[in-house]
Amino acid sequence: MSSFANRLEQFGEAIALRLPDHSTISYLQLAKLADQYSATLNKLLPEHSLLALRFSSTLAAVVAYLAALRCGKALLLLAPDLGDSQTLALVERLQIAALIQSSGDIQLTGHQHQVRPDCALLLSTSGSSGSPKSVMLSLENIEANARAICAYLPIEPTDTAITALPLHYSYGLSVLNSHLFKGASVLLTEAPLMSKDFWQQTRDFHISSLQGVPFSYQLYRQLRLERMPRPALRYLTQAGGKLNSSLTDYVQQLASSLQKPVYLMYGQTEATARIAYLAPKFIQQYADCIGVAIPEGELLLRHPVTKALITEDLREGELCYRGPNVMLGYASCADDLTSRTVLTELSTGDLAERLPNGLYRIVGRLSRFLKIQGKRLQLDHLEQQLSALVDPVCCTGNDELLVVAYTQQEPALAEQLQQLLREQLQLHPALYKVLQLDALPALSNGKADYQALLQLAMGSHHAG
Amino acid sequence: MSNELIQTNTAKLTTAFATALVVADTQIHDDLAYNSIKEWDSTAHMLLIAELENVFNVMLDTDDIIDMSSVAKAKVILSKYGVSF
Repeated sequence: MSSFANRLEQFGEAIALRLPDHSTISYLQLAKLADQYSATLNKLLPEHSLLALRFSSTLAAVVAYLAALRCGKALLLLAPDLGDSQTLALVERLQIAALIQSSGDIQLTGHQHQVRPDCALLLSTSGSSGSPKSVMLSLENIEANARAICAYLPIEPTDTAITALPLHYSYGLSVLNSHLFKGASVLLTEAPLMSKDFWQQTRDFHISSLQGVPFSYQLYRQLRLERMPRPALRYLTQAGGKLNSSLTDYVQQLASSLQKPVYLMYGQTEATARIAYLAPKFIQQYADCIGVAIPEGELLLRHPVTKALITEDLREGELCYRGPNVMLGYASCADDLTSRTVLTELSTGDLAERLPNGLYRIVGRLSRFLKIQGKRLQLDHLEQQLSALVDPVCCTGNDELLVVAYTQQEPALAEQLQQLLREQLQLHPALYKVLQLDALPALSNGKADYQALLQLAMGSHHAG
Repeated sequence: MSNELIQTNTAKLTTAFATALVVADTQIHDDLAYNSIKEWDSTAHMLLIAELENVFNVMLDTDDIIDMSSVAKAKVILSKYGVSF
């Protein structure tokens, strides 16, 4: 199996990467740099070793990423600022053989675990929280998703994208991959979205597209993107969670005031990145829809319990997806890395319906997770984590607010919980609420009543 | 009179920063810069701008929003909108 990473040379002298200091790296140069790095990796480590990379938006890190793909090493992508203790825990749990720093420096750990040969990449399911649950992807997955994205987005070889999203995050990575697939270029910047440098770069480098999770669009709204003259900007994309109604209004206004197409997209790391997209012509009327499956993919609806296929329009069912970008499987420990499972159909955990015009619409969520600022929080996993500190504890919320409730009357607890949420999950305090209650709301069967808890929290949130 | 006004504005500014960044008032000083502490990230920056626009009843230009890289810089920018420090 070969991927765009193996075909960099075909674009010759075309520019692959641009750096903030205006230096450029051609596709030929990039292939050469990757091969030099591969040679180092091959000297140090056998084939099918698992490596982890602190994936900053820098040349050294991108070279390490492409080198691993080209020389058959499995690579786990980490947030560049993932804490040492969380990194160490992952190294032990997955028996990672080497840790690659953002600078490209390699530290061997002594582990020698072999990974299944078709596993090329591991991505965390929850962004930067360092959750041990990772998604195993093959080269074919990565190649297929990049190919599909190039088939529905208007990426041109003359385009320059910008790293508006982190590269260890599947959506951010898909921007790099699809541009390299097409022979276009990417500006590697570490400037945050809310900085002068970033916006100067979008102008100076004639950036052709902007991406964003709902939170990015909140920033675009506050910065009044519609007033910024950016003639080179041709289109925008949005993914990483559903827009709330006020942001939907904004995106619709943005599309009409800029007169530029906006692609609302839906996906999961389990499908490498993208699953569905809404053609820009539907944005004014159908912004609440995820659209249709990406090229080569197929969406299905199944009864949540019986799993029977639902074929009628406007009937709610679990959204399932088939396509060449569906992951190999999950890996939570070293043993999982040698499994032979091949997943053919992905259950998204989202409830959806199909409109008579063929567009799909998400109507609810089956499994308990939140997507806050594009980061997925598995609530049961979080409860487990927090129960080390306080038990019982209940986690619920929506995509704008995480709610944590407990009963224990221990004055220091609130502070400890706040600190844990802020530091480990990297959430701003405005995005979570910690409640100490006399009793946790329960259903008649004794299970936690998450709905009631959410209502309670929302009531106090607006009041406070 | 104007001295009192300046004092009030400085206090308002400090409170706005402390609220948006969720840090103690004592941590807010002129040299404090965007991204220099982990509390001042893009989320906090966004809340900060909303807070400042609200407290001082101004509507900041895009360039000023992304230029507000420190507490001292915030004072300079807000001065352009008629808020004295």
